[in-house]
Amino acid sequence: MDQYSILGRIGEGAHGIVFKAKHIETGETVALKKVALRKLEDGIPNQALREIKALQEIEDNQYVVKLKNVFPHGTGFVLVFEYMLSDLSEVIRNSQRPLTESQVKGYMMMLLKGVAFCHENSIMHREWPAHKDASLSGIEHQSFCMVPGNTMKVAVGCIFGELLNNSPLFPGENDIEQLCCEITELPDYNKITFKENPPIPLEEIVPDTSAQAVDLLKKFLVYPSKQRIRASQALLHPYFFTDPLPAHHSELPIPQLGGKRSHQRLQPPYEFSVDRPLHESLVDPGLIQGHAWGCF
Amino acid sequence: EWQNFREYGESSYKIQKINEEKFLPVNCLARQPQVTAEARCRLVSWLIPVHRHFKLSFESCCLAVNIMDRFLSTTPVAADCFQLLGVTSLLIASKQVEVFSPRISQLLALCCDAFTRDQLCNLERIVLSRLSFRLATPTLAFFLHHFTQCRLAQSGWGPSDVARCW
Repeated sequence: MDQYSILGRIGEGAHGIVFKAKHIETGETVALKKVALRKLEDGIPNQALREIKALQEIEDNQYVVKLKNVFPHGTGFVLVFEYMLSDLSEVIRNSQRPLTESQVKGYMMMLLKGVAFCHENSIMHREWPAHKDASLSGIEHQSFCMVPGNTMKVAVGCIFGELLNNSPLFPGENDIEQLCCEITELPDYNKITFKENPPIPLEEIVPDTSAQAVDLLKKFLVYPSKQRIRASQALLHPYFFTDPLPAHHSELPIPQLGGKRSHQRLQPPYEFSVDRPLHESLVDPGLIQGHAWGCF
Repeated sequence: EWQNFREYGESSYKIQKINEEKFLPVNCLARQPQVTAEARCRLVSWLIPVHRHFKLSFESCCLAVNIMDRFLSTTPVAADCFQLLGVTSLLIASKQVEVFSPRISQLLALCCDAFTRDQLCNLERIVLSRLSFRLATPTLAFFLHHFTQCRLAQSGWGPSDVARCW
């Protein structure tokens, strides 16, 4: 921990507090996620170990946040991530103007490329050791795989809807209400009852949206996972190839953390620093090239 | 499982084969002042019945030995802590592989309560830190299982025959 100097608090996630910090040796800015362990009786929980493993196994990718390091600290441990200026919820909430269609397309492409990448990775790592019986571990592993693969695409659909609408697509009072449209086939479904809800046509939920956007949204929000569109196929959907074309990532707004609203647009996607040589602050042509080719 | 093997067997094997060398313990006893090859052999021979006692998979056992060996190549271990390293490795491995891992109290009892919970938890953190939390070792258990299935596939066996074998 003494390798980092804390610069400030970024926020609080489900698992712990996130700090902005500087790696003293290299001067690199990072995000430190401090995970406190609640139940210490049996040491470090297996979920934590497995999550770290999954993050470590995802190789370098422009669209997936990189886990740089992890070490035990106090009674918990600290995950070191590359520092991100903002996140998508901040973009949706803090944008002064609603996002343009072209910007929405730009964000969707970045999101789908990240998901497509995770998906490739998780499939390749699907192996499971020799279990003779169809034990719980197999099922557990299955669900572990499905999170990046299948359920995630429903989530993609919901984010897509939120981007189109600037507000949550299925606002529920709580998680259970939000889930009502998705879980009717799960074994414990009947233990919680839901009001009968007549379906509302998507066109009404996302008004003022192009037909192609609605078409793509429908393809994400399909219950049977096999019929749901794959991230890699979605990237080839006509939505991304019709006017207005997706915005380049340098054209996407970057809100300031903490709600500062001044000079927020058209900043380069990283911070300038007077300590760094000028040439390091120039946009890397490789990045643009990757973006131009990435969708094929 | 047979279906999985047909669809993913070859590609998992290729990935695991590439990853294997990143997880090989290098000269694990070279820098150990007290732990000898004989002591290591005794500890592994003890871990085998221990993993059976807890009904853990062979995968857990293999991973435990790999964790222990990789730790030994980074850090000198005193002879009287060596057994604690064995059970700690087994605990970490089973958290990675199993649905239910053994309780710390059970593991300590098997060591005749020679060590405390704090010592074990401490060592767990040290091991994880020394290995940078890298636990995705392609194990002996994986390769053994893969080659067995390849052999069965070559001899033209169907899923039902395979099910009988396992």
